[in-house]
Amino acid sequence: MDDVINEIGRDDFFEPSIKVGTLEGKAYQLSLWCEPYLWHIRKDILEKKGIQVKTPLSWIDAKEIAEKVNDPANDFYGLGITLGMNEDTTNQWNSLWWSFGGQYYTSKRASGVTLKSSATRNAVEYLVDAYKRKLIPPDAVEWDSAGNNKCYMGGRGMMVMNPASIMYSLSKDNPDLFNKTLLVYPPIVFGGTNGFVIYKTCKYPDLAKDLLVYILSDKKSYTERFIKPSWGYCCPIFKSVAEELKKIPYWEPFANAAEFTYGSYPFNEPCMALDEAGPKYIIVKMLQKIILEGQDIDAAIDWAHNEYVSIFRKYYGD
Amino acid sequence: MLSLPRKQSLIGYVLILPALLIMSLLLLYPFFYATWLSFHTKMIGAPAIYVGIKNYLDVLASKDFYIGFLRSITYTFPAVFLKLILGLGLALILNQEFKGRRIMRSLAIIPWVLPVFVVAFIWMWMYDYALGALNIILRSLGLPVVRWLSIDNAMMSLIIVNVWKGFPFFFMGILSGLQSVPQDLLDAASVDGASTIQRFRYVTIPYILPVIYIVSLLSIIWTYGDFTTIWILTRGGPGDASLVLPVLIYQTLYAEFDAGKASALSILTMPFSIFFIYLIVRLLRR
Repeated sequence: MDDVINEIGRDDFFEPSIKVGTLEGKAYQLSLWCEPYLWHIRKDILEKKGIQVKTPLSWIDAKEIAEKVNDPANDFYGLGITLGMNEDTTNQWNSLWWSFGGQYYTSKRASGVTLKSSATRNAVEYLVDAYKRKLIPPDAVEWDSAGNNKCYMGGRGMMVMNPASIMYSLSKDNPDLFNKTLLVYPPIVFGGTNGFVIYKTCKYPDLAKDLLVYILSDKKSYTERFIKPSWGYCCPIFKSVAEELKKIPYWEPFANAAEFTYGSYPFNEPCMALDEAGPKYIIVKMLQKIILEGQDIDAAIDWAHNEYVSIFRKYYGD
Repeated sequence: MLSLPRKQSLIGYVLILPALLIMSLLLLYPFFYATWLSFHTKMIGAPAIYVGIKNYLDVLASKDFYIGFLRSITYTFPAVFLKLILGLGLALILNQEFKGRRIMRSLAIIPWVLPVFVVAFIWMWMYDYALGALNIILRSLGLPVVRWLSIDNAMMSLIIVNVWKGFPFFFMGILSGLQSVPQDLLDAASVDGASTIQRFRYVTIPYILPVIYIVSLLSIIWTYGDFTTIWILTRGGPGDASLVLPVLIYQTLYAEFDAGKASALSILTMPFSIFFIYLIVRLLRR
């Protein structure tokens, strides 16, 4: 895809959106959009309590805000963070963990796995502490990936981290809460990137490439007909489009986050081992071993680390 | 020259040959392919590499396999037992003559006709801690709310869904059995002084017992293989509270992308089903 990217204008792409589809210096994917996970915060409660929010909002600051507003006796919780068996648990963990300095690997081999680290311990302690102190709803360990959405939309949560699906739903069904919601991005934003590939077996690869250039060269059409109707679910991978969107209040946090959105930090490159580890819910199981089974934190981290090591070994050797 | 009976028999074989071929293609090919795969490492998108019985040894050495089997049994037998009790009870009630009986019979089979994923999503909402119907009812009655899908309650809640969806099958089967009980036999028992319970025990039950066996065995096989409900509601969690074998197989295939290991796991889950299939075949022969 390098020729396609060059023709569209490599300089205008956010770097993570190119790296996410690049292997050994060759681009195999043309990104189309990224999907940042942002803090959704109850603006009305912030104002009532006189709390100021910094941008980007760190996880430490988020917890401090949560402590100020937490009211579990009335089924209202500071952090609507999911800990259930679903993708969002790992996604939110990524944002937290990366901001604490964690990363999955330093090099693509079994010995390069870096799950066992002080960053991991700190991130685990952060969540376990928040759960035990009921800053996170007790049922969060049972949620599906819509659990945090329901928590926020049902008025049980002060803040949640999610892509824009919540805002889209609120705009249709609960404009009042929509207007009361503040969107802020965390220091390192988790978010998948979606794009095009052309199969080796494609009969007309040049035609396919021409089509992709045609689709993505018209930035105005890309903005108006693709990005804007998504309500922030699809965020731009082009700097120029993001700059334009920053001028629109609703879009400003999404446009700002687009630049820092990673599927895997810091490399944001394709990794088969991570592709396998995600759906196995290793991170979720690690957290649930501690929270639900009372397992020692270090033992649970060791278990998760070893799971990642064996997956990395399978794909990349020792 | 062939004799007439042999000729007829040959024609018979020729006539069933297309059906046999189609059946073989639909049933045997996937089975043999899965068996073949189970002796290979087959990552999705990559060629298969022969590994002998390694996949089987890996599966048998894995704690998850035994947890999965235990969870599957814990899910299957209570669910089938409850479906039997409910189905039998309802069949006995709706076998009586009363006004509105036909409507009641139709209503009773609604859970059975609903697609399983619809049932799972209905119950997912019912079980929701904050917004679910069950907890809203409990709250309105001043009772403590329940975390229906918590680590302690998940299996029970899944069984409830399975029972709700599956009991009409028992109801329909047993009702058809009840309708075959000769009325004159029941009348004769009454004349002989048999009580209601005695008539049920010594006349009705022997008549409907074969039906009960068949529906129970079929239900054991289906419940043992249930995936959709569990995947939608809990994905095998929390922890491994509902990690039944079908979920484990799915995760092996679609998380590890390892069709060989997933196939070995599938083959190893089969003896349980085959045992109950054998029982059904024996019963049908009798």
